[in-house]
Formats: sequence, C-alpha cells, structure tokens
Amino acid sequence: MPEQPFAVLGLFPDPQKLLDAIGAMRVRFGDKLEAYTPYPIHGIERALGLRKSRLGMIALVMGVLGMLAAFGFQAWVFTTDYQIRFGGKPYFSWASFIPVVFEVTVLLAAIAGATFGMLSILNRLPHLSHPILRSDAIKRVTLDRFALAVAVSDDQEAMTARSALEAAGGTEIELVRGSGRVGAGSLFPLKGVAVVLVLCALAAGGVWQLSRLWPELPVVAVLDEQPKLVPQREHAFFADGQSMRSPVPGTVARGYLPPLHQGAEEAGELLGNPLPLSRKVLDRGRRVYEINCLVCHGSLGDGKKLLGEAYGAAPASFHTVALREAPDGALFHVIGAGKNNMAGYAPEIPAPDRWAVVHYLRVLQRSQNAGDEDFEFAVKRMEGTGR
Amino acid sequence: MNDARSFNPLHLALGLVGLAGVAGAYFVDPQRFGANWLIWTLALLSVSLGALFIVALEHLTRALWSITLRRVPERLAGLLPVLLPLFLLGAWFGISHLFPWAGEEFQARVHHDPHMHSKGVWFGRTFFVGRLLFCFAVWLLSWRLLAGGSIRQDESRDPRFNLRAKRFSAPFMWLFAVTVTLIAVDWLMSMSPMWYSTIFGVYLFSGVLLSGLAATVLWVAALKRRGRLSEVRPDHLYGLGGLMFAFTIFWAYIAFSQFMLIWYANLPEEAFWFKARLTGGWYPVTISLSLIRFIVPFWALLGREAKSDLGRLSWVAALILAGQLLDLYWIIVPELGRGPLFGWQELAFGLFFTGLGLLAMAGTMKRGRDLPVGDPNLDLGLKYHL
Repeated sequence: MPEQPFAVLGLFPDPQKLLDAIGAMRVRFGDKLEAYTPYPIHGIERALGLRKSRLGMIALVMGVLGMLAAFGFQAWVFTTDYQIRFGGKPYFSWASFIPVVFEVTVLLAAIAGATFGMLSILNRLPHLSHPILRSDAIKRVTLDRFALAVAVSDDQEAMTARSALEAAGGTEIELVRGSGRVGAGSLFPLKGVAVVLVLCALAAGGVWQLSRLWPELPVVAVLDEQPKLVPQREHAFFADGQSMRSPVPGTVARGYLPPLHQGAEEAGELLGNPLPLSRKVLDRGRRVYEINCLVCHGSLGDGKKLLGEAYGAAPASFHTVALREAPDGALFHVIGAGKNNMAGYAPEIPAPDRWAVVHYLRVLQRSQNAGDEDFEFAVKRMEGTGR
Repeated sequence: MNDARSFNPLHLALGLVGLAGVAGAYFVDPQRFGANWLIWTLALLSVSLGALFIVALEHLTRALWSITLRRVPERLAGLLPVLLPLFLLGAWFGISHLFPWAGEEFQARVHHDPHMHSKGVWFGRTFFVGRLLFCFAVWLLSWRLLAGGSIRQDESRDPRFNLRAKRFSAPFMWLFAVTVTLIAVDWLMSMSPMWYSTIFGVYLFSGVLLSGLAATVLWVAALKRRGRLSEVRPDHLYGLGGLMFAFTIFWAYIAFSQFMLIWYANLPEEAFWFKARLTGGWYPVTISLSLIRFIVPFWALLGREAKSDLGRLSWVAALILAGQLLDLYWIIVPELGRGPLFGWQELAFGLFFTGLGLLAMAGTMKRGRDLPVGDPNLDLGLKYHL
C-alpha cells in the first residue's frame, strides 16, 4: 500500500524547550501541531491552543445524575415501594440517604464520567492502530524525550515542517507515513468491536445449546470436580466410602458430652447446680436471662411477655408452687431441652450459663415470694448503710 | 488590612466605638456578653492557629508553592500573643455565665450523677485555666520557633533554620491536635457538660484551618492591591484555593458525620444538642450554616480556574470567615437556651473585635519582609509552576 506522508516529528530534551518550540511554530502551523510527552505538562494545553477539555463537564453531569438517581431511588423505596420503619424515624429520612448518595455520586462521576468518558468519548478508545505508534520518536517519548508532531499531507509540506522543526531546536527529525489524523484519531474500530461481540454471542449460544443436547457435558469441569471432601457426600478417599469421620469409639469430643439423664424428672434427681452461688454467677445468669428469656418470661419471671398478644403462647410464670419446688436439675433440663412451645436453648446457651440462669431464677422466685426474714434482712441492711 | 508602615486611625475609632458598646453589653446582659466574647476570641484564634498550622504544614511537606506566601500566615499567627489576655479576660468574666459546671450546684451534684461522675475531675476553674495556659504555651513556643525563626532568617540567611523547622513540625502536628481538641472540649463542648461528640475536636480543626487559609487569601489580595507580593502568581494561589476547596468538603464530611451518627442513634444524652438546633428559630440558622460553609463555597471553587482566580478566592474567603463566625455562634448561643440573637451588642462586638484585630494585624505586619528572603528554597518557590 503506497503510504502518503502523515506527520513530521522532532524530539526535544525537556518540557521547556518543547514549550518554546510550540510558541515559535504555533503561528505558522496552528492546529496542525500535536505534542507527545512522557507525562502531563501543565500549560501545554494553553501553548497548543487546545480548547478546554469537556471531561470536567462530563464528570459533573454524571455526578449530578448519580446524586439524583441515588436520592430519588432511596426516597421511592423507603416512602413508597417498601416502607420500613427504623429507629422510629419518618419514612422519608433524608439524612440516612446521604452516605449512599455520596457513594453513587462519586462512583458515577469517577467511573462513568471521568474514566469511561475520557477513554471512550474523548480518547476514542479502543484505538488499535495509529501511524505515530510506528515512529521511532514515540519509543523515546515513552522514556525521556518530548516530541512535537506537525501534520503534513504531501512531501512539499513535509520539507517545510522539517526545516521549521530544525529551526525550533528539534532533533532526530523523522517523517511518518500512514493515514489517520494527528492527535486523537478517528480509527474507532466499530466493525472490529461488532465482530468480537458477535463471536462472543455465538460462542455463548453454542455452549448453551451443547449443554442442552448433552446435559452431562461438563462445561466447567475444572471447577465442578475438585479433589476435595464435601460433607455428607460419598467419597472413595476413606475405606468406608464416606467423606465425614465418626469419633473414635469410646471417646467424646470436647463440649459434646451427651446428657446422662432422660427427662426433667430424672435430671432433677441426678443433677445438682455445680456453680457456686456468687455475685459473679448471678450477674452472668441475669445477663443470659435478659438476652434469651426475658422477652417471653418477663423481667420478673412472671410470664408477662413483652411480645404482646400477637404472640399466642402463654409463657410459664416461675412463681407457681410447682416451679418453686422443682429441683435445680429439672429447671436446667427444661432450659436446654425446651417445653411445650418453648424451643430448647442448649444450642444457644452453653451448660455453665444455663446453670447460672437456674441460680438467677431462684433469685427471681425469692424476690417475688419474700418471707418475713427477707424483709427483716432488708430493713437491717438499709439501717446499716444509713439510707 | 492596613499598610505596614502605619496604623489606620479608622481602625482605632472602630475599636473604641465598639469598646464602649462592649462595656455596656456587660452591664446589660453578662451572659450575652460572655457568649459574644467567646465567639470573637475563638474566631480570631481560628485565624491565627490556622495560619500557624499552614506554616508548619509547609515545613513538614517541604512545599515550594507556599514559600512565596509564607510570610502572610507567619504574620497572622502573630495574633496569638494578643489573644492570650483576651482569653484570660473571657475566662474571668465569662466562666460563671457560660459554663454550667462552674456553678456550686453543679459541683455538688456531679459526683452523684451516673452520667457525669467520671467527668467530675475535668470541671474546675483552676484546671480549666491551667489547660488554657498549657495550650497557649505550646502555641506561643511554636510561633516563636516557626515564625520568629523565619523572620530572623531574613538577616542571618542561615539555611539550618529550614531543617530545624522541618524537624519541629512533626511533633507540632501532634501537639496541635491535642491543643485544638482541648480548646474544643473545654470552651465549646463543656457548655453542655453531659453532651459529647468524639469528633468535636476535628470539627473545630476543620474550621480553624479554613479560617487560616481564608485570612491568608484575603491578606494576599490586600497586599497585591497595594502592589506588593507581585511575585505571587496564579500558580501559587492554586495551592491555597485547592486547600480551601478540600477543607470545605472536609468540614461538610465531619459536620455531617457528627450529625448523622447522633441523629441515627437518637440517644437522649446526645440528641438534645442537635434538637435545639433543628427546631424553632435555630433551624434556619442551621440551614444557612450548611449553605455558607459548604454548598456555596463548594460550587464556587469546583472549577479548576476558580482555584487560582484571586477575585473569586477573595469573596469565597470572606464567606468562609463569615461561616466560621456563624459556626461558633451556632455552637455557643443555643447552649444558653436562647434563640438566635442579634442586636446592638453583636454589632458592638463586631466593631470592637474587627478594629482590634486589624490594629493587631497592622502591628504584626511590620515583622520581616514580604518575602522570606533568607529561605534557600525561595528561588524554587518563585519559579514554581503547576
């Protein structure tokens, strides 16, 4: 292919010499000049007479769109589409929208606006080929030189440009041939992109069709078949063909001691509370009680549930004669195993905490069924502290 | 902003007229007097401390762009010695009227109040003034080292000053954080002894740095109008504009974080502080504050050209200084359980402190030359371009 002259390039050793050369040649060559530099140089856009980049405006518009979209979407979701009351606040609580609004604003301004806008709209990427990329000068520009290019269309212009670049102090002047435009080119390979997209679609459709014809066809065999043991599955690794192991006969895993009793009655006979009756244990019991039990049994243990009538079951009061006389072990068993509508709490509350709750239940019972001796003790104590 | 050669009698007249009003205000309503005194002394402190921070920041980062401007914040920091007596006077006249913890009733109650007993140690007049003196000791020492050293360098041309200043600036950052937080907690937050916000020191810091930057911009503009500092080009101003823009956003970020966390949690011992400011007459003040401190400066400084345009920077800087005053007013006055006040007292305080500030600045302006001619990097700074 016979190639016509495209541009004449000259190299300069530092940004200032490049700027000086641009100043000297600007009047004569006007917008035929283009600079190639290893890093951005402030002021070069003024020297070249480039109009202001539209990037700032693109980023601003995208940022504002992101802001409005995020605010509007949240306002719609929280007030209309899916009302959730949180913290007793109004549905339209704009302050809680702000963090998401901020994030989406930044996201759209930076990614959609600045990055995508710059790469595809302003730089017209992907841009697969450009005559300048074949020059020797561009190899130096990626290292330590600053290049000035003059667009030319015939050999006569090339001669003029060469002498002007020489006069301005340019070195290693070369003529690049090819077609295109100096600066951001117009070689957007629409066809190429379309071909790639069509090929992707064909490949995806083909795989989909194949997997319908042969469902057993392993599309991603490497991921499907990994050499690892999966729980609850057969596997040939162990002799018995199971992937999971049983404990060695005659042993018990730590923390998994099976109950030695059956039913509340037997527990009441066999088990005693192993924890000492101390302030620390009672505080622990109270805390566990407040977390797990209080919502149904009430803060006094009288079965007055906080859940209201919407919750149908009637939780037990601990102040019945039966429960006041029930042995510690029986209470312990019911906390762990549950009773009637109450689920067992053994998975949530470890055994020592269940025993602490038993102690605390005794405290609740005594507080609501105080005898004369309790009253006398309390009076004595108040006199002792002078309150 | 007065010419360096002499003081302006107009400023003295302003100050004297204001002084009469200020004295009258004390006898009419001592609490309102105390609040106004606090607003204005803290506003002047913001300017001078912010300026001191800018100087230290330059040394720490070895910034070149700000060398040509550095004498301006160095001189602004010279307000600090004037401020110490003003703060002591404020403490003398104001403590009993402004701070509930200074009352005997509070002192008797504090040890039995479950919310307060751990704070009891903090609330006492002697300790309070002691903390103030500690802060001023730190600032005055830093000012002597950084600004005083720089002015001595004009004559001595000793390049070792730059190394000393750089080495000092790192611990200064730490001391600055501690002292600004102390001032924020003592003089603003303790007006509601129960209330606390862990970000409050940073909140005050953002206003302090903005005030320092804004005052620097206004002073540079004033000097340039008189044909001085002609070496300062838009390339140098861009740094000031950029920092002003950045810290405008920083202020909004801190202010909103503080608001949102307290609003969201809605705990009674925290939320009352914002409730007072979001209801009644204070609501429009809160909205104006967000406009003046964030929305208007943000859009005004968003463009790249705006950050190096001295005209644009000047009016935004004036707005920022007004914003700092409004911010302090918005923090202090609702604490007294009052609505937004504006009357002859506020005008008198404005006159008095503007006059006093300008007179004091006329004095500090005489220090050294307009450019730090002894700085070995001044040439690089003058040639600096973006």
